Amino acid sequence: MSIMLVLTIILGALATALFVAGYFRGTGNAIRNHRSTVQPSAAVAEEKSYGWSMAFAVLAAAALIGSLGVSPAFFYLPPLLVIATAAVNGYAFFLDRDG
Amino acid sequence: MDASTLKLSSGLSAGLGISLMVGSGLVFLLIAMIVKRYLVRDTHDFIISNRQIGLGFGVGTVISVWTWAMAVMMSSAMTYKFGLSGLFWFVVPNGFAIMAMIPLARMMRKRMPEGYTIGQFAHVRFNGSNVASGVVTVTMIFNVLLEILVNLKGTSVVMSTVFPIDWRAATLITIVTVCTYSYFGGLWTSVMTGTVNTWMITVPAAIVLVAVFDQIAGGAPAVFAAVKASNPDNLSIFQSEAPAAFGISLAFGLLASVVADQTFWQKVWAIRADQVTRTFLWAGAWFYPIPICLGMLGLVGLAYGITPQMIGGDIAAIGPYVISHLGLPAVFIVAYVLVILAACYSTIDGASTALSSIVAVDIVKRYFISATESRLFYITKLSMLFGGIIATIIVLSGVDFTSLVLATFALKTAILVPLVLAILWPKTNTVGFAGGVCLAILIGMPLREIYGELVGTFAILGISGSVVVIAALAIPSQFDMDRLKAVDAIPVAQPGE
Repeated sequence: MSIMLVLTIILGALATALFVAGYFRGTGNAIRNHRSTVQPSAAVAEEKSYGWSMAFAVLAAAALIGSLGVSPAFFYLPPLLVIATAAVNGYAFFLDRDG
Repeated sequence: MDASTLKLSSGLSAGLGISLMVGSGLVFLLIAMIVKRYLVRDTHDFIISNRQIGLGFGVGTVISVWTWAMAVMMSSAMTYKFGLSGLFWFVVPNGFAIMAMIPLARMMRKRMPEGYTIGQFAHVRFNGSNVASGVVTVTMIFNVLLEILVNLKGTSVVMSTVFPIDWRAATLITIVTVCTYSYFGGLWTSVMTGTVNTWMITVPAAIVLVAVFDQIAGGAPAVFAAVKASNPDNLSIFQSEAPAAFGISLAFGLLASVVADQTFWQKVWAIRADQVTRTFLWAGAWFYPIPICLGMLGLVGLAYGITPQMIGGDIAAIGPYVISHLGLPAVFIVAYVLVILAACYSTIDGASTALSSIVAVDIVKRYFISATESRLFYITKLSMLFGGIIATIIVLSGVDFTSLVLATFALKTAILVPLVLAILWPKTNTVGFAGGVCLAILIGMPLREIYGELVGTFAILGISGSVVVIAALAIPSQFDMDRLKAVDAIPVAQPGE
């Protein structure tokens, strides 16, 4: 088992821990919200910069794919970022305090 | 790196495959029971989760629903066929399509805060026109059926390829498993199990890919060198073959797949209004690493010089073939199968849940106004099973479902521009909307047949949009968007009901 595989498994385990913690928090919040008689706000958040964020995400994805053709060192970036997807999903439960 | 060294891994029994399919279903059934007990008391909860879905569950469910079983395999297949330019044109429009929903979602949540379905929007927006809302509803139903069908087929192919399981048995086990857990709890169950599926798609996929490089003598540098030696163009994203062959038409097709899909509109209205923008932004952006990671299996296929004949002629099988023939320990093969199963289950249960909202709002509430809440709830739950049963019959019958694929393509591509204009432009009228969709199909589909997908797609988009604009100029009218606010919510059951 290479160092890279060991590192991936460790990072995967950490992301999983964050994900599971977030998931339980989210489930608890969902049940609490359901029992509450207070209805969620119907106001859509004012976020004016999402266009820039979208453009950045698209360019970053394109750059990531392009980098795979430059050096094999970049071959390990996608798996690390996939683990980051799970971690970000877990973090999202903590960022949204009501959800 | 030599393809002749690849051999099918042993020790993958039918029992193991069935255990994975049923076992993950049992975990989801447990979640469904918790949902049924604590989160669902009426139709409103069942189809719209009381508009209480937060950022975490929102991001998880949108990613998992968008990650089709076939998409997991097609990212590898397009890389295998076109190199990195294939991966580029497959992946980049995919995440963008999700994020492109943001302006439409924001507008709909502001203008129609009590909405449930996009068919309901069309009904109100076009002054109760049964033609306009019917076109939208039929498109949504076709889309849902196709989603279930394609994922069911993809999963049965993978399970019967990796394990000695008959594909018909794999189809039946899949649909029974998904229908069983998704029947309880509706959208909340789909959202909560979908979020688990996002974990199942991500972490195992990362570990499996690194294990693949670990298994290959020389690791990632050997793969890079072998691909470069065979054809350096495969390491460039700037090859023109991929966009012409599939990339450009796929980009529009993906946009239509999101905008003309109730699966996503249901989430637009179910996620808390203050989290809608962020949910679709994060889901689109963080979806990207998944197909990029799995697409790299296509590079491994190229490095080994695997031929399409070796994988049965279907390049979608390149990912499963690489995983099951490298000699990886069984645990990694099982992890890859879980990725496929997660992608399949989440898309099928998301589609079934969308179908239940269409049946409840666009059929029962519209045409059977006197239906009581308890009867509506019962019908809504049963409708979850309808799409699964129809799709299973089609798959098991072995009939060619090209006609369904073509019909769904025609409808969703033709509806894309008129629907977007109906949301954004108050001058869009019923004649333009219905006429645009019909003419685009009648003229665009034959053009597609004669001149190919690229010309056909542009023709359909151009005709549908032009007809809407011409009709708006010929029959001037201005829809008062505030009327969308008057949409009735399905009554919420009171405690004790």
